[in-house]
Amino acid sequence: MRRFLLRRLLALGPVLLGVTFLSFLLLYVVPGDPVQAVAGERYDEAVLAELRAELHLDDPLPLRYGRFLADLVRGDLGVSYVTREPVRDAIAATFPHTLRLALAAMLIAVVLGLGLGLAAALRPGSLLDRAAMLLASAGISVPVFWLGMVLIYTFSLELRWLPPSGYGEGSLRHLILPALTLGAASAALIARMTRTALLEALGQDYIRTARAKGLHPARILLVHALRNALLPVVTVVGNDFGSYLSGSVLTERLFAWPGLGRYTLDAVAKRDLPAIQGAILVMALAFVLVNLLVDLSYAWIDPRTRREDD
Amino acid sequence: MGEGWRRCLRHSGFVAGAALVLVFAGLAIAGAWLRIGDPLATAPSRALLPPGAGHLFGTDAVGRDLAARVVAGARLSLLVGLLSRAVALLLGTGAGLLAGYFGGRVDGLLMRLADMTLAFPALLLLIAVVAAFGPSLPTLFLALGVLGWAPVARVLRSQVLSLRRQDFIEAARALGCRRRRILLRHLLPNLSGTLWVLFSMGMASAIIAEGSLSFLGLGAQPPQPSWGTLIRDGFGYLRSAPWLTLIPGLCMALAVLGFNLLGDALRDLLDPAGTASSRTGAAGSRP
Repeated sequence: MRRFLLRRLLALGPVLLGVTFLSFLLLYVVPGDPVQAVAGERYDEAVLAELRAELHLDDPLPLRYGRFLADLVRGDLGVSYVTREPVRDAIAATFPHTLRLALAAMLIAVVLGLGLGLAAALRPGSLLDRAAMLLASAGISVPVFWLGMVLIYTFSLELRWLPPSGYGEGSLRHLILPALTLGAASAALIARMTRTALLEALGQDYIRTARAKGLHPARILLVHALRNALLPVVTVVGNDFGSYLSGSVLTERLFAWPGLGRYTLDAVAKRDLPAIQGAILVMALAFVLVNLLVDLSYAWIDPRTRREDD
Repeated sequence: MGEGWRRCLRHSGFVAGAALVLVFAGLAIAGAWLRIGDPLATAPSRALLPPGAGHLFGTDAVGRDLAARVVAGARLSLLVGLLSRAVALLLGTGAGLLAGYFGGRVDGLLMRLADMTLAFPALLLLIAVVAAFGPSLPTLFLALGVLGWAPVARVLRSQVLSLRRQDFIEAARALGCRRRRILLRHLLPNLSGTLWVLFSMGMASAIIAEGSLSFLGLGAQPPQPSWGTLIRDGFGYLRSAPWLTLIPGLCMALAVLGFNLLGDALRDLLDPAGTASSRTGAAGSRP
């Protein structure tokens, strides 16, 4: 286990370096002059040159990357071209909202997914099973933003049960629709995987043993079979949670949710390079770290995966 | 061949998926000649008409016929999907073949590169690329294609790894075949099944990615209709004219469902051992 841990942590180094380098590169070798974006087009050459020097834009690329990394280590993500405030503060203010949405979405996904998967596996081939799996197939194919609109139309505009958008100072009513929108695809996937894994587990010898011992069928299903079915679910939860931290861009836009995704989109619209870069970097780091945690927990739950080299 | 087709037609997922895909592909291709209506012609006097006899899917805020726009959108979505898949499969196949066949340092380098591509959340990377180079269709399909190489390469590499130890490759080598001939004439044909699965799954995620970016204003630019821009334009009229978002969204969901079903079915039919991974994203959000 320790060697596995060590190898994963060592592998993290190059990936982190790659992530920082890509986000550095992506926005600083782009066509167009970032200084013009800051100053607008009215300024004369002298002001532009001064600004360029202030932002160190004339230095060679490796030096700028080095400085970028050094700043990063100190937690400095630069200053927004638009608001003139540190990008770090803006991210610190918006990230908790994204995290809250991601946690709520995952909770919904796990409850719905496990419920549907269990219900389907109880009577394979039944009407309930078919309905649940059809729902799961639809959930995987439906575009997130469209699902969100259908939910807004149904529950906000027609039924008037829930507010159509906004953060609502953290009220639970404002959280439900965006969380359901974001979590639907994971719920569908979890349902499918739970069903498959349960059906597979139910065919194993140890289940037959449990049955032969005369255990209650519910106990067999919930304790013996489900425990082994949980493994793939853990993977989905982990992978999807990582992408929620970065992939809630669409949901946040749709529901005017004041998270990191919407901050990124605003920055893209204004070509606010340091803001885009900082936001992307933070989301990518969150994604990488969550994925590492998933890998580690996987190895912890199922010792068989540790020896696998690839 | 005959037996193969019969097996396909007995597979309900294959039939449903293929039917959906054929409907949308037919619309996209035939729409160009049939001129179901001009997707760009405005008629303010006939704005926001609900679906009905004159306009099958109704009209938008400036009186454009939604049915014509949905068909034009199908063409654009499928075209972006096809072009991005062509780029992704070309790059991914090349990398997968090289990594799997040569192994060693080439393999290590390519696979670390793939890890790095996959370490980035897919949609985010797309947004960043579009933010950097400006929104346009070429940017979109190139970005989708270039970022989609990694999952393709991974899957094919593992297939090549198992193929290269088989007798027919050994035999080809013993006969003195050149490497290029072994790669292209002996290995590549054996990967065609997997390539079809990757193509179909990839089309599904490319359609979603195009729609998402267009919805965010980073893909197709007005007045060019794509399913994503139609949904975005309709969002403002969700209360008064819900069909403007519901119909293009439903088309998109059905097209994606079609390609997903087809991909699943092809994997069942061509690759019973299940080596090709499911949910291989266009830009590969999932390793």
